[in-house]
Amino acid sequence: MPKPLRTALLLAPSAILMGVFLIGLVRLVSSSLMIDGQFDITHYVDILNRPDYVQMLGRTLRTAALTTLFSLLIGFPTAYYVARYKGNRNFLLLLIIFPWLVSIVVRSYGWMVILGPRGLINSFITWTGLVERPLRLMYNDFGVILGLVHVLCPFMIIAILSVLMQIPRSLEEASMSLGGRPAYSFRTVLLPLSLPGILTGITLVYLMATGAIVTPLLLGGLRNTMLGTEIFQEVMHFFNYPKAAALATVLLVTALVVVIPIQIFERWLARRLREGESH
Amino acid sequence: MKLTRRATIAGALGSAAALSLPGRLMAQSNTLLHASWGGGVGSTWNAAFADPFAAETGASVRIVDVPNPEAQLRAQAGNPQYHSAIGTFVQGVNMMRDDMLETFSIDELPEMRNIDEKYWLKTEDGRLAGITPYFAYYGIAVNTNEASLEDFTSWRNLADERWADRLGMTRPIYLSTYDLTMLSKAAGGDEYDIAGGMELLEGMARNVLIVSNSLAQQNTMLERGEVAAMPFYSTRIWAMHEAGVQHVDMIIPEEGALLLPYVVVAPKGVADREQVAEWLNYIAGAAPQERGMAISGYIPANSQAVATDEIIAKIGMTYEELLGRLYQPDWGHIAANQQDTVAAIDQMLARF
Repeated sequence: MPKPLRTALLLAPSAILMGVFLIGLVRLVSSSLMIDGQFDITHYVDILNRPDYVQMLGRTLRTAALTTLFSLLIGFPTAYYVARYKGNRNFLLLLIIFPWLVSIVVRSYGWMVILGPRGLINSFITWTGLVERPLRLMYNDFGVILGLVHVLCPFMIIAILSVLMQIPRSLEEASMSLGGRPAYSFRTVLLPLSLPGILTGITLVYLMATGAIVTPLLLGGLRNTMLGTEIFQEVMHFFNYPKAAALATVLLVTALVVVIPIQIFERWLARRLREGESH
Repeated sequence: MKLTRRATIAGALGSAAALSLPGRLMAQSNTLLHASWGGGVGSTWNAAFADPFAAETGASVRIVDVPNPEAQLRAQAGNPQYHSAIGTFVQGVNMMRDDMLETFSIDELPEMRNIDEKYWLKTEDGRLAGITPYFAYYGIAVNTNEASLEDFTSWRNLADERWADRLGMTRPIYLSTYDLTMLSKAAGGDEYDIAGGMELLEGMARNVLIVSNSLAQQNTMLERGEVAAMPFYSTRIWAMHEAGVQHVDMIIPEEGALLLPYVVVAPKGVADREQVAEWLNYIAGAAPQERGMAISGYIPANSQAVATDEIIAKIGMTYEELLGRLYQPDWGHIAANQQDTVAAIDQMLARF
């Protein structure tokens, strides 16, 4: 097979994927701005004039940020442990991705059995007499964030793990043999070198958390509606596609405000690391 | 070979056309496709309607479980893949107003003569835009281990502070059409005057532990006693009783329960129109509706349907007595105002 043809065939799937994505994006924005064939920003004005939507947007971004933070705090040590594990690493990886084999809905119901008012924890603490009434462990921010961390943490772990696996253990050992304490070695060697994986993980988890629908629906309460849920309602119940597109565009833009600086930083960092390698 | 932009686009369009082929072939075959909700609804439709129809007429109907049949019809508007679909009455009204439905004369659907005209989905010129297969009703479901039925003799009880964190509630999309209508009635108004209902709804929302429109989740919450009570569908309580769950029961409060008529519609431009009319007319008949009642507690809309002693014992009264305790609002008015009402509820809830 001639090389140009082979190259074209190899590039075709990604080109199609990107093309479909771009067309979808353009359609999304244009359908939010065109009403009956006329340019109209009514939906955006309506969204910004509705205090509940603004509140919902703030809640969505806050929940996504907290989910990302907790996923990182859990994901980094886990990825580090797996990367340095000397036994059967594939088994650990299997354990990490195991939750993906179960649907989000089933996993969310699992949390209900554990955290609900009649769940395992509340049944135990009320039985011991520690509290008179069950604690509210779900149907609030805590429940939503817990559920999202459970769902999204594997993405963080795998993103970080892919980078940690490429960092030779000898670099840490060299740092420590030169007198660096573990915390110092971590801060000056491991953390900078693993930043590309961390940033990728942050981007993935943050973006997926901003668009979450099922988990906030099942584990959230009255005050935990997120923008993804609202978009779902506009599409599935009202069939108001222009308004759903406007909400999605607002969500996209606000998410990009966070993600673009991360991407710029990631590129800068990659360049610095390449320069470091060449010296 | 040079991969040009034109070749790439042609390839993508070809793939899309190939992917849509199965759906097209299916719609062109003689099998009628009926879109139904899942969660047990589809199996009832097979046993009560589709299988007997096939046995009697030789025509086959395939019941396809989808999350939201209305969404399917809207997505395929102008190029329908389904021959019929079930929906709530409000959904039927909305689709009829958007001119999405095939209409029929009463002579094409003669069984509709046995269904009270106030339950007809009909256009301004009197044509039928769908048929009414059955009703359910919306009352208050109570976990009797957590509360007693007497605690909820009025819809007003849901706003009582004693139920703080002990109630479940559906999402605004259904609150706007169902709960608010009955709460308005309890407050002395109705679907036209919802001010008092909004106040009661606010009180009820303050007591709510969980908001959900997943029927499976609501079932679980009630069964496990995570919530003591919540407004719920009679058919779900029927299914729970049939499954042996006797500690969840339903009360029709003194203001009545909300009558929920369902509709089966055919998308505009549907293929095999005559066969579809035959199917719709069959659904409107008494015999399949009686089977639907026996299986899932769907109350027949056809006045010729007879309740057996067993059915009467299960619902605790005759069909006539039951219908006398149900409230039939102006669904057209509710549908026309639904978006505004949902927005008002959303904003009310955001103040918490």
